[in-house]
Order: sequence, then C-alpha cells, then structure tokens
Amino acid sequence: MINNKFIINNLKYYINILFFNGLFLKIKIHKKLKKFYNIKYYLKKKKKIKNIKKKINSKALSPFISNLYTLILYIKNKNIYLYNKYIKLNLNFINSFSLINNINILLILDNRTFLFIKETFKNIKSNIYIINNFFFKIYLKKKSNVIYLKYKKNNFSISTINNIIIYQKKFTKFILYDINLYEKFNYNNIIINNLSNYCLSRINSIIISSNTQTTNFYLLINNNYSYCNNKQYYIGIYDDSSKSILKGLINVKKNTKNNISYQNYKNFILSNKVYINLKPYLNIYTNNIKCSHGVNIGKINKFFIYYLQSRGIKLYKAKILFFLSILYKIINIKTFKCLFKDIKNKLKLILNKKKFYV
Amino acid sequence: MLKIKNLYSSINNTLIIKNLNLKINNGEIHILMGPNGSGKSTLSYIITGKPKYKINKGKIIFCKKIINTLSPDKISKLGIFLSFQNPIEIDGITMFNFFKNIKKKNNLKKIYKLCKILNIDKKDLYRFFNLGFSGGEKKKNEILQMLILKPKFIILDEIDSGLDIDTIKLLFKIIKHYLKNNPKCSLLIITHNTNIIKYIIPNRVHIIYNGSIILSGNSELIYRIEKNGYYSLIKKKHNDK
Ligand SMILES: Nc1ncnc2c1ncn2[C@@H]1O[C@H](COP(=O)(O)OP(=O)(O)OP(=O)(O)O)[C@@H](O)[C@H]1O
Ligand SMILES: [Mg+2]
Repeated sequence: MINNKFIINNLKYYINILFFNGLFLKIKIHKKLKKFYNIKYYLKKKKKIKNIKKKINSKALSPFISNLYTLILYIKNKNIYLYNKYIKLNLNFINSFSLINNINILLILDNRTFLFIKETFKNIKSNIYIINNFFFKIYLKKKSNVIYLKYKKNNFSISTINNIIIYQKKFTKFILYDINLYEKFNYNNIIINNLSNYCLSRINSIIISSNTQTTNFYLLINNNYSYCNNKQYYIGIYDDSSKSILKGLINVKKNTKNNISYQNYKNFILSNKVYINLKPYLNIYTNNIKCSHGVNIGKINKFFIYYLQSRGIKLYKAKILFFLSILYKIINIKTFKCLFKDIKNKLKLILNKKKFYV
Repeated sequence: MLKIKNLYSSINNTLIIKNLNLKINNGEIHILMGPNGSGKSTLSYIITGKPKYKINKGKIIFCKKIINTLSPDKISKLGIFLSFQNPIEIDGITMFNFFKNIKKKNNLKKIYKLCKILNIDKKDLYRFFNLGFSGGEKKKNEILQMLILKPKFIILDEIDSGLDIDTIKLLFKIIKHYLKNNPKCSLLIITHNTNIIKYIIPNRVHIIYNGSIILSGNSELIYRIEKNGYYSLIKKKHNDK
C-alpha cells in the first residue's frame, strides 16, 4: 500500500472539464492555478494540432499527436515551491440520452507536475444506458506524478471500455485506483511503458461485483529500463453470476537491473455461479530483479468473525468489517473517506441477503 | 446464572468435552484450572457459541434460557463476555472505530475515562485494533471491551499469563471494582497461576481433565494443586473410584 500524504477533499486547485453527451463542452480552471501553472488545451481542430506540435516541441510526443483527440491537455508547473502539491483534474460526463461516449484524451504533464484525476458520471434521465469508450494517453515527464481514481457511484447503467496508455519518464509515479462496484460491464486495457529508469507504477484494483456484472482487466507493463518498481494489487469479491477476467503481463527486458515487479490477486467467491479467470504473467529476461506473483482464493477468517460476534456484532456486519480490513491493504481510509462509505454499502448489499458459500 | 448439564461436545468429530457439569450462581467467582489441552479454552468457546463446536448432548442454560444453539452475537447480547486467550489483530480498523461498532452510544469521553483507569495511552485508540500491541496491551484491551460491554457473566481465559505483576494487580483491582458495582455479575477465571488467590478469592475451584470436571472445592484446592500437581490429584480420584 502507498501512503498518500494528501487527502482528496483538501485539494483546492482544480481543472474542471465537462463533457455533455460525449462532446467537449466546457473547461474551467481555478484562478490561482493559472498563476502557477502553464495550462494549455486544444480541441479537435486540425489547424490547432499543428500549433501544438510547435508549442510542445517534444520529439517524443509528435507521433502521439493526431487529429483523433477530443482533447489535448498540457500542464506545466511553473513554481518550484509547488512541487509535491497535487492539483485536481475533474472529468465530468453528463448524458441526457443513451449513447456511446467516444472520448480520446491526451494528457501531457511537464516536469514536476502532480495531478489527481477523478471522473464523475451523471445521467440526467433514468432508463438510459451509457457505454463509455475511453482512449486515454498520459505522458509523464520527469518527476511528475499522477493518481488516477476510476470509480463510478451507484450506477448500474454504465459500462466502460478503458484504454489507458501511460508513458513514464525518469522519477515518475503513476498510481491507478480502479474501484468497480456497480458497472455492468467494465473492460480495462491498460498499458504502461517505462521510458526511462526509476519509474514507479501501482495498480490498485477493487472489484465487488454481484448480479451479472462483468469485469475484464488486461494489463501490460513494458519495462525496458532499470530501477523500476511496478506493483499490482487486485482484490475481488464476487457474488451471484458475476464474471471476471484478470490478466496481467509484465515484460522485463534483458540487461536491466534492480527492478521490482509484483502482482497479487486476492479473490473471495461468495457464490458457486461465479466465473473468474486470473492470469498473472511475468516475462523476465534478466536475473537482477525482485519479483513475485500470486493468486489467492481468499477465505473469510472464521476466528476473526467469531471474535467480532462475541462482542455483539452481527454476522453480516462482522463480515463487512473483515472485508474492509482486507481492502485496507489497498486503500487508505483517511485518503478515500467518501469511497469507503460506498464500498461499505455495496458490501451490505451483498452480505445482508444470504449465507456464505466460502 | 450459568448451568451446564451433562455436556458432550466435539469438533471435527473429536470429542473434547465429556460429561461436563458446572453451576455458577449469581455473584459467584469460580476458578477453572487444569493441564494444557484439557479443554478449558474449548469450554469457553462452547459457552460463547463458537461455530463448528458441536454440542452432541447436554444443555447450557444461562439466566434460565437454553443457549445451546444461539449465535455468538446473541449470546453476547445476553450478557456473556469472553476475554480471549489470544485476541485477534485487525488491520485497517482503529480501536475507536471498533468500539463504535460494538456499542453505538460510545462517546469519546467515556472511553477516555476507561483508558485512564486501565492505564492505556489515549493515542492507542487511533491505532489499529491490537496491531503491534504487546501481549499485556492486548489483555488490557480485552478488559476495556469488558467495561464497555458491561456483561453479566465474564469468562477470563488466561488473563494473567504474560502480564507483569503491576498489570495483574491493576486488572484484578478493576475487575473487583466492576463486580462490586455489579453484585449479580459472575466470573469464571481460567488460569494456570496458583498465585491467583493473592488477587481474588474464589467461591469455588474446579479441576478439568480430559474434558470433564473431575474435582471441585473451595479455594483450599488451589493449595493442594500447588503442592502436589494435577496428576497426583487425578490419580487419587481414580483410585477412589
Ligand atoms: N479444531 C480442533 N480440532 C481438533 N482438536 C482440537 C481443535 N481445537 C482444539 N482441539 C483439542 O482440544 C483439546 C483442548 O484444547 P483447549 O485449547 O481447550 O485446551 P486448554 O485447556 O485451553 O489448554 P491450554 O492450557 O494450553 O490453553 C486439545 O487437545 C486440542 O488439541
Ligand atoms: Mg486455553
């Protein structure tokens, strides 16, 4: 687990971007942010893209820039003293009818820029069904950090296809929290490219699924450099006829050294109709590496439950507390206070109704 | 208050408690002693309804109610409290949050007061439950929970093992104080420590061996145990038969 020193709710400076029915509508940047940050954004217009190439002026980037993007966002931290401070990028999606959201975003973070990304989804009408088709590229230049929270609140009518490609330069961190509680169908395709030494990435995924919810999680990490640290933690709690496929592949090239690669899948299966398929892979062509991968079918610690019950706590509540204490290993309660309530509610939904098969 | 009649109980098809009889009246203090593996902790688990401990025969009656088949939370709600020999550690849930879960009415002031009495550092309330606590701190935490839950019947499973003298004295002082304020409350102490008698005077002492109580008496029995050990007493009993 990573201890993030910040608390989400305390992030004052924000960039709000609003997409309405899949189209870019508005961008709002906090006044003070404009002072200390150099923020540029470009919309889907061919002419402008040429200008971008000039302005960003980075050879590495030019092949990525095409006219396919809905939005290109460039953020640069101008003030050295703001190093280590996160700013918030809110991506808001509001939909008024059923549709497929095709959204392509290229995000470029210049040196020493720290960004927390959060998505929110709102459907104006009930009875509409949304498929999000995201194509998200994030380019992290030296010493920049990204924390990306993917999480949809109480909404069964959203499905998501996420294609996220990360490019990391030296001393960068990318942390993804993928919390999946209510999505009908969730497809994650995540590629992380370490473009230099000393890259750090974390994938923290929590899946609590019921009914016929389906999650597919494909992860590819290309590590061609040394001193990189890539860890993935997945915790899944599955009920009813939910399905899950998790596949993670880490490629580590020859002649690299002192890399750390770690994959851990922990799963709790609460119904005998659950289908899960877990495949952690490590393709490693070097000896100088610390790595491990493990798949665990977890069991509820019965003594734990009994202890709590013996203090007068009801069975289902004891089980919720058990799972929360397991999830704690991925998510810090203090950092994600709001999220923990929702997780609790979802656990209640599952555990309240029937007995266990574990 | 508590009555156990002809109790036979097994786990994983191994019979562990065999024809056990025990009666504890309101306000009485009983001590249960016996060699390792004789079934002391098992008995405390069965009384508190631990799942998978099958009661093959017999009855456990608490306050005129048969509690054989009740779940642990219901038994706890009736007023039975077990201080565990080996309490658990919980990652991610603070002590204070845990206490809120066991009683909603808990307010911080009350708990602070109890902490002061028990000589527990206030800061510990914001640590994760028992995580990294020393053996003695964990036992103190059990007594803290006891004071929060205000039970009618208390089982202390080896509360005194691994504690320094000052802490033992403190804990028994607190327990006695609690009994004074709740004169109907009864106490069952499981221990290996014959010195226990220095700290608390029991009404009855029982020796459990191989899953049944083979000898009961007053506090004098403890001196006999200390002098002769369990096995001579057990042999004598056999020969008497
Ligand atoms: N799950 C189990 N399966 C099989 N045997 C068990 C199980 N649990 C306990 N036992 C056995 O039951 C017997 C009684 O155990 P118990 O823990 O009650 O002893 P105890 O009197 O508390 O001993 P100690 O003084 O060492 O704490 C032991 O022989 C133990 O091995
Ligand atoms: Mg024991």
